[in-house]
Amino acid sequence: MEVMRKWVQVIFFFLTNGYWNFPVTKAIYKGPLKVVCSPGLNCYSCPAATTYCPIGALQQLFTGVRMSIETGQLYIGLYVIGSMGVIGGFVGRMVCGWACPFGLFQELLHKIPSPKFNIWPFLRYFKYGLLIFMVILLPLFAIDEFGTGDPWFCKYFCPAGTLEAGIPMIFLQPALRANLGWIFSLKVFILVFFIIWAVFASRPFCRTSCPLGAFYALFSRVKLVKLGLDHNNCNHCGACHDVCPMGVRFNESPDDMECISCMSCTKVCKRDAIRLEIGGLSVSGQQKEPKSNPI
Amino acid sequence: MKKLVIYFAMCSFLLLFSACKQEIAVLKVNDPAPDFSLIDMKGKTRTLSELKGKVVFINFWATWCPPCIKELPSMQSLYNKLKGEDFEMLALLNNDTMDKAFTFANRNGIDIPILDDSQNKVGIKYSLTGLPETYIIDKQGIVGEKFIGPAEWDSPENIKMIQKYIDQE
Repeated sequence: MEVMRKWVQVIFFFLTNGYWNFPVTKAIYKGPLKVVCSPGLNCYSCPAATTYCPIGALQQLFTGVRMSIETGQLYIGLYVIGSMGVIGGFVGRMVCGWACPFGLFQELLHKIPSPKFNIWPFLRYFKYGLLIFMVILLPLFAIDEFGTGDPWFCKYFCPAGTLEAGIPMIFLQPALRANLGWIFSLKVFILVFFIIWAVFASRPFCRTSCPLGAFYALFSRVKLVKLGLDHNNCNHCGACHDVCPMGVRFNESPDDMECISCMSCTKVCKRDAIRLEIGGLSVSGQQKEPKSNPI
Repeated sequence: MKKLVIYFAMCSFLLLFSACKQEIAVLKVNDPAPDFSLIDMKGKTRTLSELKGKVVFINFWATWCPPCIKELPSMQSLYNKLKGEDFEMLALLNNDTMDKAFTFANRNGIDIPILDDSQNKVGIKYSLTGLPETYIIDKQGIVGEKFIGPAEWDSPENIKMIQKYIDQE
């Protein structure tokens, strides 16, 4: 299953970054596919990106929401929120484990031999703050003299944007270097920080700072495709704790908002207590035995 | 499982090839500026080739692009300073709606001619990297300068640079 997941991650990388003419055009792809919402965090301005990043698009729409309403248009992000909602409702954070290029990047970094450390669990809540403040409130309400806001998360924080768009573009277009300032330095610092952290800890950005992961996490209880725990089979041996890349103790919280359904735990569970479920029906391992009614 | 992987791989390659259909000609300095005819906010058609003999400042922008709208006041200031000279400024609205541009221009006192390139047809001809992007076209219709990203257009250096093109025969 791990090999299969890696394949799917690679395929999604190419699906969302399928424009390989960029060394010639030195420009961002702006063709017909660019209206499709990327399931994972994949920057619109990445020269190879065929799709747009939902978090970036959402901020962009929020920054100009006043002008849209003023001109009688309803470009207020409903299409983007709807796309995110559909993806979240179907698979939730499974996207993080199977379809996000930045998640794949962190997994590869974590393979570099080094001492490995856990992440303080409380830091998981930081990403909800980023979602609320930098993605929603600041772009909506911190407006300038022109009546528009800034895409705060993209502009000041997103390391995926720096890696996929900022750095490649300054190589492709040397003229852009004239515009580099402290914001770019800050973003490179954040990227380097997460790269180093990802070597020593598993998926630090996903666990602490990804607003898209935070949004998908809201669907952890209601999503269609999820991992389920068979309480009858589980003997709470704790084997699933050590292998989880997100620090989830699956037997203790099967609906954990951090679970990315990567299925690492299903492999180590000797009692086949963790299964992939679609709409409550098990699709891996043995079928759950129906609970017998006490007589 | 293998079938599923093959199916996904085929889909990804299909998308890859369809994405690669985008035009690849890159417009560079010293190339002839591609001609275009676009409609402005008053419904008047503006054609680049009709402006031969004038220096033309072409800026691609959108109301959803924060760096674009931040450089517009300096463009307006440059436009005011060079009025009456052999100079024309055109702001091409890219991937946006003219209603929003109209509202924005009215609210912020922008009277630079805004042309409707909402379908990005001219943007493709000029092989835009992103927004904002600015071209200075000389009196012969040749691309003299290409700027990617925002600038302070009313700075002494930029006024001097454009004046140099205006002074050329």
